[in-house]
Amino acid sequence: MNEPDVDTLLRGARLPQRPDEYWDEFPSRVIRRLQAEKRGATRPRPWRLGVSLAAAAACGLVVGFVIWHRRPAPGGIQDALRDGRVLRELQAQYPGRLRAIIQDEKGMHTQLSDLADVAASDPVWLEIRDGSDDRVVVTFSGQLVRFGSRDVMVLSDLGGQVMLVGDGFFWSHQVSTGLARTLQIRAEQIPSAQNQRKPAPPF
Amino acid sequence: MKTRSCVFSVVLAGLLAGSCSASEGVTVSVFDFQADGNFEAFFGTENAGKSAASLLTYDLSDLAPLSAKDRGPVQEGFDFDVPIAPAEAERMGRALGATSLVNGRLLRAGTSIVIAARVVSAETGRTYGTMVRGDPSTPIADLISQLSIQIGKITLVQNGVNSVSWGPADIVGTCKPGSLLSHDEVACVMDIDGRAIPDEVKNWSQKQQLQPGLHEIFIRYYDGTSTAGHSFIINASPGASYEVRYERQPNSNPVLWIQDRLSQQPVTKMANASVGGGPHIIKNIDEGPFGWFSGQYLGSGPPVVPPAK
Repeated sequence: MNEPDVDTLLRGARLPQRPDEYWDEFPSRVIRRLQAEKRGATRPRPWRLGVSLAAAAACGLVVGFVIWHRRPAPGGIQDALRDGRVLRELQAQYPGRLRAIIQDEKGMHTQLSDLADVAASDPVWLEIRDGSDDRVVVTFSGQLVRFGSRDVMVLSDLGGQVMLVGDGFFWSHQVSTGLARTLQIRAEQIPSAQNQRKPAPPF
Repeated sequence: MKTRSCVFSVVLAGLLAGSCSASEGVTVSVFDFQADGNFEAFFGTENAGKSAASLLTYDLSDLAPLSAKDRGPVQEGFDFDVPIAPAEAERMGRALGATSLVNGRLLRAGTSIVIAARVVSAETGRTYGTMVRGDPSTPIADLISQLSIQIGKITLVQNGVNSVSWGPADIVGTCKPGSLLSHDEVACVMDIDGRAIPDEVKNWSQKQQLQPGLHEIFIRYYDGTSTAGHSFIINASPGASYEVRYERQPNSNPVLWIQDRLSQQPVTKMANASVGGGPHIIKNIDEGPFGWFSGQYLGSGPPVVPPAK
């Protein structure tokens, strides 16, 4: 069919014949249908909501139980950073030179000293969340960590408590100052190889 | 302010010269602390870091078997914001004759005061941290005393020495009971490091705890008609017990001092305290070595001895 034929066909077409009542009721019929669709979309039937919530709670409990009781996955990089396996590997590879291991959006990378001049202090695990930026840093007591535009000293005490100290900046589990509102910090001392970390209770 | 800071430095320098001799074993060298601007503004001083280091050195020297060393010329090269290499720590330790090196930072965190310290082994470079925290009513002398004990424990661990417990000292007043015609004569502690003792005359026999180390104690004498006072600097030894003593001849000022209860020997000079009948402004605390620390606790001004009734 060529273009003039299509044009002739369209020009000859007519609207389907409807009774006048149809057009009179058309607007209210459309409004009723839209209202019904809206109710259906936003307010599920009560029994469906209950079943969904119960299923979600059950799944949550199962996942929580699994996370609580799981053993560190041999290949899980986060666990390997946190329990010191990565640290020990890299320390063996670069004795006295490893300052920090950093896991961020670019992947995992290390900070190495040119010389073997890094003291063998207690290792520390840090998780730093700043908005969407999430970093894990494994370093040692007495080393510096970059926080935005400033360097902050990482220190751990005899009891394994970690503190971060800088110019106008302090963070510990008990008290903090100078932190941006979006900044969230978690820190703990990495246990020695003989004293592996036990799973913490979920609450 | 400068005058007070100078007095502080002079008093501590004198005390340090007299007591901080080096001995074999665990020796700590304390470097100047760094004070954040808001901390110094809060206390109205420019030398808080230096003063805290001096006070800490003195307190550490009192914690046997530790000894504290004067830093001498080796002040540079141990910046708090720079990690120290083991070889550098060893070099500095050798130069100072110290087994541990200490520095730190003073900060204000909200309503808290935080003093954080870094303790580095001069033999291995192994580094620990520790901190103390107080609210604005906590005497700085107590915070630094507490910090010295924590640093002491770290240095003992770093040097493989068994842990030692350093308990607090205490101090009480003295009272000579009066007769039907005369009032009791009381010499008591009125104020410790800017912290006033409530109803000090009535509570003269109540033991006041002192953390080991330097403290400024204001002593009050009262006999029902006249009152006098004097400020003393005392070096409280761990576990020691002290008492306030006085002596007064007829028609003369009372002589006040503090002595060790065990040895019955004075641990301060014997000070002639002038008697005042009316409200007596005590300038000693505000002008004393802790004045710039304690001043902020005293509200609108120095303490006032209540007038004799």
